[in-house]
This record gives sequence, C-alpha cells and structure tokens, in this order.
Amino acid sequence: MAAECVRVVMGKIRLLFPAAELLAVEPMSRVDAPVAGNPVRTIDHNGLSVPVAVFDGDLRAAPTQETRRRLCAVLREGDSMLGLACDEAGAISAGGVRFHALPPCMQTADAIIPAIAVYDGALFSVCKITDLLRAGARPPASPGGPGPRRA
Amino acid sequence: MSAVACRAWLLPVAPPVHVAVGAGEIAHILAGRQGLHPVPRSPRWCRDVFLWQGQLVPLFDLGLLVRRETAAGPASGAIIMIVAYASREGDIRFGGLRARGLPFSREVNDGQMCDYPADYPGWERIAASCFADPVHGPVPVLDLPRLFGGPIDDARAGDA
Repeated sequence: MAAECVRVVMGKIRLLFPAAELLAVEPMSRVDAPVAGNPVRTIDHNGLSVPVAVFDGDLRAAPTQETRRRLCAVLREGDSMLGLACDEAGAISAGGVRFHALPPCMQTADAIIPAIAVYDGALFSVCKITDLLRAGARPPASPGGPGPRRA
Repeated sequence: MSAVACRAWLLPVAPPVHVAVGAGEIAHILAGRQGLHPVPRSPRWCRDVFLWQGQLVPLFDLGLLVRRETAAGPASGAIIMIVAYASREGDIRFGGLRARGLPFSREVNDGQMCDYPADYPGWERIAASCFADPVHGPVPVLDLPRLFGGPIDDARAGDA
C-alpha cells in the first residue's frame, strides 16, 4: 500500500502531516461540550477520549467555544492523538508530494514548520503533531492529563 | 579619476522609503499574485511563500519591517519583485519583495554614498551601502544574501 500523508485545511492555513494517520473526520457537533472548570473539549474515538485543539493562524491554541470550523480531524502520530478543528481534511498519496526546506529568512525562535510541501500545485506547511504539542499549542491540561484516555 | 558608476533599480517598498538592488538582480516582476501561502509562526514581515517556476520563493515585505506597518492589504502591495542572488553555497536563489509601485532605474556613483535613513535602526543588517538619490533621499542598497539567507531580528523590538 502506498504511503499517505494527511492534509488539514483551517481557513487560510494548510497543513500537511507526513507522519500522521487520519483516523476519522467527524462533525464538530460530535465534540463534547466544554465542562465547567475544564476548558479541554474532547471527542470520542473508539472509546478513547481524544483532546480537540482549535488553532489560530499562528498555530496557537484558540478558544474552542469560538471556532467556526465545522469538522474535527482525528489524527494519530506515534503515541500522540489529537483532534483538530478544521474545514477540510483528507489523506493524500505521499508519492505526489515534493518537500522544500523553509526559507532561512522565515525561521523564528518558536517556528514549528520545518518545510513546505507541494502537492498538486498547492502549498502546505509541513507539521508534526508532536511539535504542535511540544510548542505549547496543546489545549490547557486537563485533570486527566493531555493524552487520549479511555472514556 | 572619475567616480565608478553603475545602474540600480529603485523599489518603493514603504513610501517614501525606497530601496535599491543591482541592475542584474531583478529576475521578474509579478503584477498581482494568487497562490500566496501563509506560514504560521513566520516573521510578520515574511509571512508568505509562493511557487515561481517550480521554486519556492519567500515574500519579504520591507514595509512591515522598517515602518512597522501592521498589515499589507492586496491593494497596497500588489507588485512582487522576484530578485536573484547567489547563496553562500554559490547557487542562485530567488526571493520576493513586495513593492508599492513599479521599480525604476537610476545610475549611481560612488560620490553619492551616504548614511542610512535614520528612521529605521536596522539597515546595517539588511543593506550593503546607501546612496543619496536627488528625489528620494537616502536609498539603502539591499544585501540580498543577508536579507534572505537567515533570520532577521526586529531592530525595533523593545521600542515603545
């Protein structure tokens, strides 16, 4: 089977996850309502409670209540799982993707996009779920910890 | 002995601020541009990349760097100059400069050298020299390998 990448579109931001697996694309209506005292919203995926993140245009956590995104892409990358509020998500064949290093003048201290991918004439910012989480884009920690947990 | 003269292109990047590049450094002019791709967490003066002839090109908006403008609307910067430069590795690379008007040519000589404009403290980091234009005043000559070859600090960081 050909290797696949996952593309996720959030407004003007187009992300490509070369190492992630797209587990599901669900309507945002399936995401649990926020609970008082716990701002982390979650979505159930096969009995796992997966945290859902909403990002602004700089990939910083935004309030989940205010999102206008209609979909939630559930991604897995190694041991990390994350739901991403988005407008589109899908898997694409890795064979058609070309990678370019991020130009040096675009580097910043908190950069988390190491490369730009070209697929079918469109550009994508290459990203890893682990980098999103490590860079502090993770939703505020819940009492049960940041990772997926049994519902 | 007469002063050495050469031709330069002047670009209105943040009127009244103009910058110059060498006559042979402009590769192409794009009037309007679709397909800009914003890159999260990139500098506010270099947010977008685009494809040109199969190459990935970063788009630098000097107006957002030297004037601290907040955003570049489509109408305010619809012209993109594609410039070519030799990297430290010796290969030819391309960069994009957002301009607020069409470039124009000037003959420049050594006798016109002057200090950088005083209203931006970071010209030494991105320019190689500066000359006095009779119409537009001090015009920094961009050092393209430095501009595109590494991160640029915000020289105004910490200003009120």
